[in-house]
Amino acid sequence: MALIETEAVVLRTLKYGESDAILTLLTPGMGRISAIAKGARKPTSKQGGRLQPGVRLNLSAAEGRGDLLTLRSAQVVDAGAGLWMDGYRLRAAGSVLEIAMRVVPEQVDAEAPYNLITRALALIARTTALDTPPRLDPYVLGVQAKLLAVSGLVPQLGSCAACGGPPPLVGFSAAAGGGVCPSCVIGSGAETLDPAAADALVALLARPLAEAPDAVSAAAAPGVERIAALMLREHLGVTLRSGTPL
Amino acid sequence: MASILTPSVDALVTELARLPGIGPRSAQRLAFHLLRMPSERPQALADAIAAVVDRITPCTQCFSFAEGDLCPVCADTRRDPTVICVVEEPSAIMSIERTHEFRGRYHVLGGALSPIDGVDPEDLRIVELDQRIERDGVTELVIATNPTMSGEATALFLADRVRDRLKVTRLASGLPVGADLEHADELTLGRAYLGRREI
Repeated sequence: MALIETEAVVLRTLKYGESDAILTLLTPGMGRISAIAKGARKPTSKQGGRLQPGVRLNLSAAEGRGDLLTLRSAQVVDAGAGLWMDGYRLRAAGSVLEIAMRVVPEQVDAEAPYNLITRALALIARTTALDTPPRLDPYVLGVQAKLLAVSGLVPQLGSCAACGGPPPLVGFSAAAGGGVCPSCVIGSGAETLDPAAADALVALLARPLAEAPDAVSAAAAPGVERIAALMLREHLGVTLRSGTPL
Repeated sequence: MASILTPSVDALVTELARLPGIGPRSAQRLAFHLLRMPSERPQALADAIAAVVDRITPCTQCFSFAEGDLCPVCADTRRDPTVICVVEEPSAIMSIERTHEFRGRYHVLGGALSPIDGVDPEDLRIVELDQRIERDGVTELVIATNPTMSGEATALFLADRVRDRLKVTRLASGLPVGADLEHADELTLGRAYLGRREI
């Protein structure tokens, strides 16, 4: 029985049976994988706290007959305790983990998404608590934008995605792959394109994730989220749920 | 492959194997054990299961298990109706009752928020909790959701919703009594440190 040793982030923990847990993990070398952690939910288990969503681990797991690995051991690289400090950070972390779970495929090289997700979680864990936090977290939007890029889905915003003509772009068509000009928008079913959202998306793609709060204003954030949601739905068939405010 | 068991035994094994922690081999062992017992014992088991299926309904106040309108806790007039402990599932009530520390009443949410799994606030019994708070003049809400990411998100959501109306407390998170620090996992120990108290 082959033993796999890798770093991983826990994306989701599901109860299984009396005391076991099924983990969905993001790894740099194998993308998304699943593993069973036997006895992890017993109060006496040392593994339980290590296997919560958002925790970064060094793990070893045994390959079985199916796709499900069996967790043998796990050491914490980063517990991400800061993610649990308030509802805002928990929601933001939940959104990042959901994006990874829905967008990163299984069993593929995923070093870039892995680095992006771990960086985002570290940044969210260190965010200063705000009295009135924004509805949409800029790091979450940064992750959405950069995962579009990693997936080869960067929207075309410099010229019309339908005819290649120059700006202005007045609509957004996920089917066409980006912004569309006044001629092409007619009858295309495109949504209105917020220029501030388009600029913010370009800035999010160009700047490091740590600078996401400077790249996107609160006013532009819903437009960025909308563009990312349209692209993910059109091209990957993915609808994100956790971005919805609780 | 056709089963070598009779249809009724086969059906019993299948149903037993649906129970948590029971695999096909254990189910078969249990079925054969039942068959070897004097007939009144398996009949008593069957009657007990049938009685539970017939009589158990959700308590109209807290949504725990009840026979009739109210569960034993809600029917007990000595329990303090102004303190409510919020749990995810009825099974958590048994654990808290075993401590003999809590004298208030309970409210079973029916799960925990998990947008990723499609569990939103409207899927839980939060409106009913709001109604109880108003009706019973609740002064303290003790949130006892599980110490998982979804349990924590649920606790923070509830706290945000009601903290301007009443006192909200959360079960402490920390180290098990009698355990060595060196065996604690990092997240538990980290949260125990963050939640340290002055003595």
